[in-house]
Amino acid sequence: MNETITDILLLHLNGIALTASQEQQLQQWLEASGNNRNALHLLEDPAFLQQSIRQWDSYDASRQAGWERLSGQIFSKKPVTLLRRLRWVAAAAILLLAVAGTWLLLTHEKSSPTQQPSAGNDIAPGTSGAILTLSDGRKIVLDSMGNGQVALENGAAIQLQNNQLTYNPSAITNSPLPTFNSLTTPAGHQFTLVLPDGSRVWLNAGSSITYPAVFTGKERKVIVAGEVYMEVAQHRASPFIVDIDGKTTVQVLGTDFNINSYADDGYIRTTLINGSIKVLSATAPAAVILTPGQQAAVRAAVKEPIAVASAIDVNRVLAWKNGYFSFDNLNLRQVALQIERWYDVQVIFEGNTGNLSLTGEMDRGVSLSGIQRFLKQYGFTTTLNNRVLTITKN
Amino acid sequence: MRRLYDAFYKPLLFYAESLIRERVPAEDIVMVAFTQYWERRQGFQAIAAVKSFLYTTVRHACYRYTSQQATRHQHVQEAQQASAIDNDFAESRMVIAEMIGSIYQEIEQLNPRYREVVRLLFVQEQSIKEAAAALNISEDNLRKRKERAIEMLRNKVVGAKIAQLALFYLLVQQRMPWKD
Repeated sequence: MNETITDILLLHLNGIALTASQEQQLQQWLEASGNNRNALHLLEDPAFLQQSIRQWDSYDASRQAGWERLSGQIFSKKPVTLLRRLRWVAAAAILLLAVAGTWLLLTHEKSSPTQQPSAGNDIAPGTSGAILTLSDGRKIVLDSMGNGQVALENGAAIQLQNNQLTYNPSAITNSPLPTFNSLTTPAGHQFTLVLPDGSRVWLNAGSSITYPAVFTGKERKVIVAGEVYMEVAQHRASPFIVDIDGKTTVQVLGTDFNINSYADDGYIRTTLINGSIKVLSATAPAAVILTPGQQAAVRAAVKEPIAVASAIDVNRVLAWKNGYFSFDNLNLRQVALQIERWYDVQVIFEGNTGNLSLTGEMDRGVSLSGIQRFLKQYGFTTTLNNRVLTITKN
Repeated sequence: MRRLYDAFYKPLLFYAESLIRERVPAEDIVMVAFTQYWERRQGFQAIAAVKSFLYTTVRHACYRYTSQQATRHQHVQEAQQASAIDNDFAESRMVIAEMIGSIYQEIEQLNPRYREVVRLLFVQEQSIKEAAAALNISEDNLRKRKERAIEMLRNKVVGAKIAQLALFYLLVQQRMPWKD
């Protein structure tokens, strides 16, 4: 092949006259198989090209991550562990299918012929993934990397293992000053992190946490946004402080709690599962101390005492972390906000959608069409177009 | 090695993904291919040989992957179908991967001011308003750039810089983003 078929195709697609030999080569190629003819057909389709270019674009992150993985391997001569991961991925895919299937069986769908959204127009559920920002500003995408060391920060080795990020501080830290890292989950992703003190953090979609790579001072302080569940390791000498929006803070000794600061209904809600925490707000006259099962609600810009509710259903609060949606008389707008975060779509309402409250539980492993069916049960019509979900009341 | 990696990563991944239709395993397959190349890199003289080695390695890994998947699912019929990615099909996919690569490169070579406009409006299908906000320029300004970008690409038609024509061809055919 002196002139490759790709060169000739480019000329051809651009309407440039081919030389006789080029023409001949092209014809031979087309006649050689239906697949080739089909390929040319695809290349002439603007929608296919557009989608392909977009796909191409989305490779940037994994290319970078892949290079780090590859260079780590080839330059240190570590054994190749990739194949093992392949199998694991396959197993996970099957599990996911099984889970989705189970959910479909569990929903009380009448045998009414539900309109199935076409396979090409559905959106997969959120997955595990996050973006790690190192102290020097470097960003590392964690959704497609293999297991292994991701980076070294201030003497702490940052390891990725089965979609969980772990900090292993060494005895020697390079700097007495804290180096801050942050972990951000975009819409459609959630992630787990083990902080250098052993505390565990779950990040829901569209959330973030900023923390030092090594805890150095008298207290352990982190900044969070969105929704996080934390299991804080006990270190009596060093209290753990969570800063939520610059005004609201949660002080902890060693306990498990969930902070939801999406403020879907205007409130930042902190729910205590175990232990004891103190919630303070710049806009509230007094701090409150929670006991397990209690929830504190703070409105950021409103001067009022912190509201405390008791006997909270913690399973419902932690549903996201345990892999399901749990709506308890939630209005449509709030449900929509959860859908937006988990499926990375935009939800818009058309006409009067009324004041209906929705109740139900479902697996977060279902694709968006599952949610669409759920909404249909409430008499909503949904249409999906370019990641915009339009909801209309029948 | 880095340059080689950067040059071939996306075409190979695109290729693998179009064969097995799954992203993550495709990424792994591409990584393995690079590792295998690295292990026997002394044997290669020409870049064309490296390229063909990488494509072939990826292709075989994809065959193996699909047949493994199929046996795992224990759907015998599917197994037969899935493993029937024939060479012919794989080769046509390789041509597509290469073509998309060339077109992509041409977009990348546009002046950044116009490239961003093209990307936001055309590739990401943003509205004029969204794109203007993303670039932090006024909507009017964005419209001007958009027109200028079309003009530049149109001029390329005369200049016959091939792959940009492909892009132009797309832009004029595309219905949506170019109407406000």
